Amino acid sequence: MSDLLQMGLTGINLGLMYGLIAIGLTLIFGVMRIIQYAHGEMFMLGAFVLYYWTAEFGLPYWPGVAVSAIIIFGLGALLQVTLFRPLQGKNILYSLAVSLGLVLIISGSGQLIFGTITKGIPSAVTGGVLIGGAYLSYERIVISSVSIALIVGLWAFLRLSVTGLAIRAVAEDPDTAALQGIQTKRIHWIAFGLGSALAAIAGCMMGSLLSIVPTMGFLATIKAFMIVIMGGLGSVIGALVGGLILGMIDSVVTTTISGDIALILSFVVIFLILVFRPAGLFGQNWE
Amino acid sequence: MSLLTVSGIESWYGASQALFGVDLTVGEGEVVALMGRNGMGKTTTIRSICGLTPARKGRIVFSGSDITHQKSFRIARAGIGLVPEGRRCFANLDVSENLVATARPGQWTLDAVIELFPRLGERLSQSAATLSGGEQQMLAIGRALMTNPRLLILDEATEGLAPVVRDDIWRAVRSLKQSGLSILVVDKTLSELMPVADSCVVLEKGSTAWTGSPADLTAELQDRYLGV
Repeated sequence: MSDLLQMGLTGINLGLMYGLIAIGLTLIFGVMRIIQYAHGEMFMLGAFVLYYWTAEFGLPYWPGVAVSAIIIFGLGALLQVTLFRPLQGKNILYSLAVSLGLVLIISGSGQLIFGTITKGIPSAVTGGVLIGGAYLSYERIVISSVSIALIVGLWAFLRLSVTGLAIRAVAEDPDTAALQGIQTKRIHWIAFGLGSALAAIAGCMMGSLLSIVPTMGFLATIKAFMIVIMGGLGSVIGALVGGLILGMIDSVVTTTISGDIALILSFVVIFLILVFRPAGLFGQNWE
Repeated sequence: MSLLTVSGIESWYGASQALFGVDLTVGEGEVVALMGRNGMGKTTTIRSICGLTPARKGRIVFSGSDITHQKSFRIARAGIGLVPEGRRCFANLDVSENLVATARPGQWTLDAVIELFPRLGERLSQSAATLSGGEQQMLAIGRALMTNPRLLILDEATEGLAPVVRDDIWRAVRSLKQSGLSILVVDKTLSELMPVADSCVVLEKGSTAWTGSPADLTAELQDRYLGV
């Protein structure tokens, strides 16, 4: 029983972090209809910013997470303006090609600059608590809480703020949004920056729990795409639910059987979902 | 005094020319009916005014500023509110969000829009996708009003609506005219359009064919320019 609880708690924790990465990706796709395959590199860079902030410069953890998010927000916005804006409205394969190039550039540069040795980000908190026989570290509790707060915050931002409403309007119909006075270009870089910052924060969290390497972005991108396809392209709630499903599969199956089987099962679940709901759990059909 | 002056605009869709010289003027507080058979360039004229299909030749001046090559959002912010053909409400946003998302300061507030269209007030938290066609049209007009425009453009605002709902829309248009708002209307319901219009502009084959008052638009002219 305690094992099940342990796997469940770990699954939720993982799922929330997966959800954060995937929400960022789905936000970018939903607003711009582009494939950002280098999303995982934002996740990786976010983790390394925090690593240098805490481990190399000895500065406090939480301001480091904020600094990482701000830097990656800026980088995402810059990439949108310089690389992805010219591709707006063009065949989606162009953005795929450009972002694949970015993966090679960022990941390769990362290995040159950061090295290829695995690194660890010092924990923000230590210790833990037993819940029904399952051990839960304070770090995981804090990380889950921060993830939930960010997701709720994003939900509130998209529903209650003028910019959030504008993001949703542009995601649905950019021409009509512009006709009502919304500057769609501004919304695009904000959404791209925001999505990248969410990936960076997820990188910080994941990097604190596990270890970090410059190539970690690849797997994050794959997982994020799996989640987004499962939850439905462009759906924030779909990304969260998809993240939790994948997190739970990862936790339970990896613990009881193996990581390889967990990956296979994840794809089986995605196949099944797409058979019965081709647009994903909460998605809509994109032309 | 003229609020909007469109002078000899020519617009293209790619290599195909759609407008060959459209002229029209909308004065302060004036209601102008933009008329013509299907495919004569009414919607393209509106798209050009709003910056969606920018004119390659000619000039569009709004409130003294040249807006011919301005971006759509700048034209909207300058004070032109469009109610587009097909309504195009944001289906994933609820009624309240549709109205608030693009609101700008001015006399048109959420309460003022609800006073004009009480049915919207009963459906504020309802998704725009679940509204009837008439309610969506009210929402599209309300959304444009919330940008507090100086000129409201209505493109086929009553098309495909039930007669009862059309009456509501025309009542609202008359009310807006009384409030002093300038309006450019495209609509096929001449019986409703003529009494509310101060002047008419008739397009034929992408250019202005006739301009005058509703009283001067005789049955013969209607037959020549608007008959099927």
